[in-house]
Amino acid sequence: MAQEASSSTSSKTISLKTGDGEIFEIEASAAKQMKTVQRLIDDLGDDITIPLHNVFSKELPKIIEYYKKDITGEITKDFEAEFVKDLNDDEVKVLFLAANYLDANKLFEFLSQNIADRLESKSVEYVRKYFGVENDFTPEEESKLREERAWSFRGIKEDE
Amino acid sequence: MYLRCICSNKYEYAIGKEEKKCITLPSTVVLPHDLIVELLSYLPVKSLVRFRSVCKSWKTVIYDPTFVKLHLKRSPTRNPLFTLTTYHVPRTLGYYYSVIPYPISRFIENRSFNLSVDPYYSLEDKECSHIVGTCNGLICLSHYSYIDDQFNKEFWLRLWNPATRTISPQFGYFRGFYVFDFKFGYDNSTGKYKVVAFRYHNQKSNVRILSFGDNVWRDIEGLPAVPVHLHFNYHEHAAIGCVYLCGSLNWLAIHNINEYNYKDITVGQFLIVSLDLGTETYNQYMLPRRVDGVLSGTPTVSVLGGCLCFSYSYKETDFVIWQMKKFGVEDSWTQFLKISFHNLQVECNFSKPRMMHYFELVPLFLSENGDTLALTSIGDSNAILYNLSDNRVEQTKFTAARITTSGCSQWRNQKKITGWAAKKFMTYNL
Repeated sequence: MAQEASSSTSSKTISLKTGDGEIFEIEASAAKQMKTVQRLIDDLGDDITIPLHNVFSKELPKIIEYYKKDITGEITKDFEAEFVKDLNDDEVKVLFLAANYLDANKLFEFLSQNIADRLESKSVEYVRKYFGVENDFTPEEESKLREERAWSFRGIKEDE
Repeated sequence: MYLRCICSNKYEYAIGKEEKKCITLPSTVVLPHDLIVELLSYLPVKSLVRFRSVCKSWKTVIYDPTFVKLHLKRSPTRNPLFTLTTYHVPRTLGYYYSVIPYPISRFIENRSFNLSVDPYYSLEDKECSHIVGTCNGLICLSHYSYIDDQFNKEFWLRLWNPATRTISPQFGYFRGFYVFDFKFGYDNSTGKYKVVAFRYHNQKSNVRILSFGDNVWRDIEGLPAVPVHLHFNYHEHAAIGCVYLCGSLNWLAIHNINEYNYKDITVGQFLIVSLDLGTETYNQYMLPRRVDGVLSGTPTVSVLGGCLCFSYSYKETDFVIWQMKKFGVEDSWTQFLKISFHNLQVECNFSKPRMMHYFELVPLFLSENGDTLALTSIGDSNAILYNLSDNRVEQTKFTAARITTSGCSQWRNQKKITGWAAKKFMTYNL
């Protein structure tokens, strides 16, 4: 059964069930781009609904949209810009985590670069908040670090 | 939205508390440490240097050699750079100027631009006058001082990372006379940066290697053939006769220099001598046999699109470039370009004395998409941009030259730099 699935035409669709119980369809060729999904298909067969416990109904459609464009070779810089334009920081992070869970390499790399681009000119304080990281330097240690590399603190954006 | 990522202990604790309240969404989605490291590897160096201050674990990660390697892996193909040098007027003693890494892609898009030079990039306060070479964003610099009469110099190196704004102390001291040359490269097998010093004199060559970190010069076997340009044209040798590629140094060479007649040059006379920086031994590669006919002037070697190239003037009418598509595989030599000087809008005066020794048009670099080729004419020094897809030629006002380094050497024990751990010196591609 699994053998048949991998050699079938791209018109074959796979059913994916999110962690919150919703079902979405995706073309088999797009599913192949997500290694976790493909592994599940290989184990469970392509006729049953594939459960994705860690992906939810808010982000899966977006991911499906991305890979729909990918299999038709339509991913352009404009599409990618549009894709992330209205996402806030948390939404991008959630997509990023989902791409990681699904082992969807192309989307993962794209989102990695996008998050990096968002953070590139940000301040240290902003980045701490963004990642939920605590500052464990003493005030003296921190001011010493800043002094040593003062040049890297120039030209950063104001925190919103 | 639902709670998703279980990573740091802090978050698990929060989840425990939250769950009892039937889950409300957290104000921030927290990412696990290993994914954060992935994200960091996509950031440019300046941001990484700043984010050392975020917290202690980040500072450790950013300096970790494994992370540095990961970051380097992301960069090279993405944004290749070349170094711009700007001369300062008036020049002080020596050749003090600024060296600025500049993205090739930006240069190709816009050839006329104003550049405000950050004083940091000046070589003057680094007390160095020459660039030995660049590799993975590191720049190897050199300088010398006279010991006694004009013929004895003491010579040294410094390794500079303009992206992280760190520079090593002086190391690799040399003393002696007779001109020789240096090249800088990276050995993939050991992850070490190495400098090779070589001279050719009285039909004999001497080669020495220094690994950054060990900081001691070691003699190795001389070149198995004569480095042609070092013999005839040592001032330009660095630009035309020897190139670094894929962890090796490659010289255009010839077996018997006494049989060399510049009026009757054929490709079959030449070979490539390649020094593997890892094993520190030589390989020899033939040039393509398919090139027939007499060349006008000695061919030159260069690197284009990550491949070893050699180029020459054919019958005084055409400029030809061959690429070794797969390094070390003689069968992979492929003709990359053949274009008439007329179409390149280049006037080659073959009666000029220099032309008898080597052909002066030298390829500099190829754009990432393979469309634009930059060439320079040693002598005139103005860079030419040639678009391979639409055959457009543009003369630029940039003078582009490879800096040659000449120095002196005497093979004896050198001062050893102690207390400078190589691992302190990060390497980041820009």
